[in-house]
Amino acid sequence: MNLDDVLNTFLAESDEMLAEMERLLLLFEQEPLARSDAEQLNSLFRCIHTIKGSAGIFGFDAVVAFTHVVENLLDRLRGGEVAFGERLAGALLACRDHIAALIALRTAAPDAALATAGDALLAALAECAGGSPVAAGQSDATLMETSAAEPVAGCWQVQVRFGRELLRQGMDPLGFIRFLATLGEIRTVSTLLDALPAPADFDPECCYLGFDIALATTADKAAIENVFEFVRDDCELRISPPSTAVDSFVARIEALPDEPRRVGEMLVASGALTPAELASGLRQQQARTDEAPLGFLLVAEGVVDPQVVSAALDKQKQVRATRPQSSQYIRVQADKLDALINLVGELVIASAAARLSAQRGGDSATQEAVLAVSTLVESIRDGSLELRMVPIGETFQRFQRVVRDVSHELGKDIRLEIRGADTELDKTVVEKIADPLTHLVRNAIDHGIESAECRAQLGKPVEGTVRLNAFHEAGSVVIEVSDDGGGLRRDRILAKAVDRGLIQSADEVAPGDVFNLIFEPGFSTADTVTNISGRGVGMDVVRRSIEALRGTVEIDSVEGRGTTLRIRLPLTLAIIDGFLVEVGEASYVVPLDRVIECVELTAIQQRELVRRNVVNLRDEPLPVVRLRDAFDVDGSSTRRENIVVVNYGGRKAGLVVDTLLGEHQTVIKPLGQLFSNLIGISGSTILGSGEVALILDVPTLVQQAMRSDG
Amino acid sequence: MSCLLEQTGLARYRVTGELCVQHVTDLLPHWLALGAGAPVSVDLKDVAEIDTAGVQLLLVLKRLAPTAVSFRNPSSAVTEAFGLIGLTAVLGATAEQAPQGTV
Repeated sequence: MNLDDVLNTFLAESDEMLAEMERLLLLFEQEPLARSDAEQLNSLFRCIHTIKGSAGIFGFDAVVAFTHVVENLLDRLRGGEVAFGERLAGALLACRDHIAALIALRTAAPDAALATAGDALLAALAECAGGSPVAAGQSDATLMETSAAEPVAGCWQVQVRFGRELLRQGMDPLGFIRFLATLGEIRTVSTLLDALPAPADFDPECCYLGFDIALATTADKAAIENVFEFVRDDCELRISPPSTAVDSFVARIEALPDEPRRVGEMLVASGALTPAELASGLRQQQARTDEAPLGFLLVAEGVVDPQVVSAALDKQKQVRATRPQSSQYIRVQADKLDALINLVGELVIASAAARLSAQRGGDSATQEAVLAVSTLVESIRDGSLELRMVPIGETFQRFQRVVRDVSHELGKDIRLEIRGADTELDKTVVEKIADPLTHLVRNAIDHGIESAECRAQLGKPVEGTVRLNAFHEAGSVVIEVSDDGGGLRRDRILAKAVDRGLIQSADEVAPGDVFNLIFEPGFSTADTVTNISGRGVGMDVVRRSIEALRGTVEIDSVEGRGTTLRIRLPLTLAIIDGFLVEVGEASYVVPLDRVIECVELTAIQQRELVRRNVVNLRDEPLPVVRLRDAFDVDGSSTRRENIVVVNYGGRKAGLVVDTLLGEHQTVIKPLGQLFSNLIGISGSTILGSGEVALILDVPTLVQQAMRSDG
Repeated sequence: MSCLLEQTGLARYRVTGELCVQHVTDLLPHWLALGAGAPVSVDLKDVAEIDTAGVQLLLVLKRLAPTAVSFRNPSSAVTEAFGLIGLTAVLGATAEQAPQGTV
């Protein structure tokens, strides 16, 4: 491994860290206090820390110097010395960009301009950080107040205050103490009388007593807590371990396996905290507005010893240090993966050939063996394709920044909502979809969402919303970009199209196709050209790049309410499950996920087919394409023909074929440039017999069917 | 079984029965009256049973009139209960001929 490789790794890693930073900072910016919990601050700190460390190795001194200052500030943030605010998040975001710029230079010293910019950023940062320090010491005070009575050496300290209604419920606190005595030896009991009211206010059926009990026992905390199980919800219970137990908790936490865990989980695992205490602590944490860390709350309540909590925190830190999150992944070069996928493709073809030959001439043992191999090959295929699958969330996250920057620039108040971030699709597809998506998002912000004044006038919320949504649907991935803006205006699109000479008159466009006009080259309805969008280059490019991915794009728009652009993409580009059919001598593959059903073409339907391309399927009209006619296959079918009913984008159509051959794993071989004009064919594949079969492009075939129908 | 508060002599009272939650409400007015006037002594030897409510009753009276009210002859049930919660002193310090630690 030479230095260049290492450098590339560093650059890739920094990219990741910077992206993560950006995500976190945007989060903080949106919800300054509510979400800025320690966990995320720690992640932020780790990002900067990692960048600083790695930059040092390569002698990028400017990066080190700059990140050092930022790191210090983040450390103070973590310590609670500085409060997080929107301004600070903004300043840090600017710093992040500066770090990215510095790293991109790949030199030790930046030029003067960049250095000055850096200094200015740091000054701004210092200014933001200066104000509103969090009051320290508060926490200590509360801690002292609630600390337990003088502990007895070697004993569990059980402090309990019973609920007022306990006696009326027929329970006797003395009974609990007697029961507690069965666990071990009660050394001392002091009764807490402070709640006992003056005789005038005294209700004899209320329970006013509390007890502080020193219990010498070998039972664990959960067992002690169990004594009070029936009254757990109504009483204040605090169980503190003997000082010797604190050491054993710490030892147990340190001995926990090195896997990432939450502090609460570790405390429970060590026995220092019971699940019920954890649950109540978490409830309390949720009820608070300041998002205090769980450990802090638990210590303040006296539920656990501060020493144990800090041991758990240390352990967590140590685990994270030895096992940073990114190391759960192995970095593999994309071309190695591609080579593997290609090989798997060949394997699939070869195994199909083996199966065919075994079926023809092999004995049953061979057939069985070949069948087992095919099953395995299928799993290998699925597994290796999955290697290429990545969640789209990462790409979506990038748009947080785009939306923030562009909306600031335009002076609009826009929020980005992301849904379905964990929807997975092929890495190549993800990479190629990013640019068109950017275009669509910018369009939505610029053209879609109206200005704040305009929105206020229309009675809409002033804050506009852009939504990114992804989900799986029938073998494809659907990505939606929607906005709650003004929507597309049918009349203006038509007028513009006539104006530009795209159409002769408004009448020649079917109502459903009006919106598709905006995908024509040179089309823009924006009144003014901004430097973000509106120049009319774009939507045609968007459509072309999506079609290059074998995808489609459609528009839903309601004037005044907003627009949704729906992109449908195939899950993967390499291998599909196909359905093999035969017309004459030629074989064709229909992607299996498009197939709804197969029915025999009846004599009546055959007669219908002579007149028009629609048949009656269970009293529903079904537009059909006769592949024999569509592909000009010679001869006429002597056998009965079949209809393969396919679906695309919610529409149904039938393909008339001669023979149904069944499912077939299909490795897609793209057609050469020479065949790029073929309509209705999206690729080819090699069958087990060595013959070539063409893969049908269902969308265009369906469209053809609809057209000849209408 | 019920709980009965009787006067047995001059400034002498006796509690009989279960000094428990079922009876404390009925007992309370008479009970607090004990602490209102001259010093009294309450005999606890016939307390067959006592629970937290009963303990509280004794404590309240003791708080109302720390010196004027004294308890004597705690029954084993009373001694056990007060021993359990570490308040034997409440009984012991003012008990007349009260044998302690009979548990």
